[in-house]
Amino acid sequence: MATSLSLERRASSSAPPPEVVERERRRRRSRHRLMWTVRVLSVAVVLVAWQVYGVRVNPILFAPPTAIAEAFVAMVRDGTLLSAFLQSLLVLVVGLGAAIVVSIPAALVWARYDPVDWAVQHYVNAIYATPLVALVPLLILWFGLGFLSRAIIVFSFAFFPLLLNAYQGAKSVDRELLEVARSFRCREYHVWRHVVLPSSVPFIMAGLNLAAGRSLVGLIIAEFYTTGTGLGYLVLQAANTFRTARMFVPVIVVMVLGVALLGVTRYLQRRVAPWSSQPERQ
Amino acid sequence: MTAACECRDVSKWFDGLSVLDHVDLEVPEGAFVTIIGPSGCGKTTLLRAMAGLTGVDAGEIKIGGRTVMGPPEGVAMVFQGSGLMPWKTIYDNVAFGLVVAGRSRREIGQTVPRFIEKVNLTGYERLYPYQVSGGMRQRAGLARALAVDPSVLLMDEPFASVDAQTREVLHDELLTIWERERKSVVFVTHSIDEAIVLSDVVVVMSRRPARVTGLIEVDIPRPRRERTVRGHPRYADIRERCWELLEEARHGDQP
Repeated sequence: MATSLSLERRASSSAPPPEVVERERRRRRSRHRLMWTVRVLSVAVVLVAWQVYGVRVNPILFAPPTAIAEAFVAMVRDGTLLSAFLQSLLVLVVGLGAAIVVSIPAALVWARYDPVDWAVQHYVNAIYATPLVALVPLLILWFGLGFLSRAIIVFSFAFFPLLLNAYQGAKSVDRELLEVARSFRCREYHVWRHVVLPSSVPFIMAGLNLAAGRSLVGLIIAEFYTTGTGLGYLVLQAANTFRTARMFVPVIVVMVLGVALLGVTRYLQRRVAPWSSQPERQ
Repeated sequence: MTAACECRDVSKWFDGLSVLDHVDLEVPEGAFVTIIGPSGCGKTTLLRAMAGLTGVDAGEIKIGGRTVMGPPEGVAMVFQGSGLMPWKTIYDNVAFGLVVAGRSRREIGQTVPRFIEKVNLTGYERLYPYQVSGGMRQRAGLARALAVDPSVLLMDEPFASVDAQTREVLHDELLTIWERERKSVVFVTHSIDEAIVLSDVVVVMSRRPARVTGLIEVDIPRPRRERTVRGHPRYADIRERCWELLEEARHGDQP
């Protein structure tokens, strides 16, 4: 009864007077404006300093923003940038996508069945502790210099952060919730569907965040080693011919791609698991 | 009257430490029985054993005449921490027991709003547990348990973590619901007042290893409300007897 009372009071309580609303809005707007001013200024200062310094240095060693912009326009015009970008994107999507599809069910099975845990724990730890870059030549030896090889390298970079995070998620399921499921006589399928999987989602999203960054590293390394395609190859090619301004262009494209991927995973995290960004309940 | 739940000579050890020591207890059908005891005595363990969430090492527990081996049919539990799934809305949480029992969508659609209304959560169906107060989460936990229409309701200190005022409101709500439905209830608490307000029989357990020290019948007429019970002439007397038994349980003869 008391709750419904307090509810009614909240619903019928009068709105704050317009001048208070107006003052609050003005304060928020001015703060917002200040924030953007500082941001734009910060970018401008860095660009100007870069430009001033860049034009004084040997163009083989460094390039000012204007030269990079020129190179960018040229590379867009002759189509090299777009085709390299699309080649890289395809590798990334296939490698990262496969890693997501394989790692999550694998991790959940691993976490939920002790014998599986005992059987694979040490392998996963060992492989995770190994710098994967060291395995890239071996992977190329096995899978060749083509698309498959690149996708597998991206896969292997993205796989472990995803696997380990999903595993952690499935391991840290609230014990009380498992008891709730048991007390309602849930079948194993329902335990997975209603408890284990959803409670792992925030961890899986965090793993995805990590994996997105890792997969870009894997992508560029794969393209360095296999040569011939993608943004990584553009970097290598420009560096080998001392066209430094052209080298910066794919680097910046990869950077933007990375930021975009992180943005997407953060957005997904908020959308898919709205409860996880909230303070823990008691 | 048949027993909704009976414990015969139940004993249990944790790591060689005796937790339940030859516990005998009978819960008549349709009765509201409260178990109180010093904190850390085995009262929650006993409840969990009735719920089939933990086994007993000796003796047996029967619910509806059948020996408990794993969570029995017709029993629902209300958890201390509410046990709501944070990823489900209040509505979906209340529906949980029906969904996993494979009830039809139509039945779920008819049943859930009824129980949400019973616990005064109408209007909060679409919210997530983190968006509502602790008292509302406990209400939702209660609605979830009631929705599967259990014959025995087990409640493990469900109001321990809500503030005193909300607790009184929840007591009255629970009394209203129970006086209408007359389920057999086993309610664990460490509050004497809560025990007297709610129950027909108060079971006092001794400190670990837990044994039943005494039974006290609460002969205060129903329908009850928190205020009417506390103002009832019998209240002080019953409270005194509970207190004495509890003191005895706390300091009583230890082996």
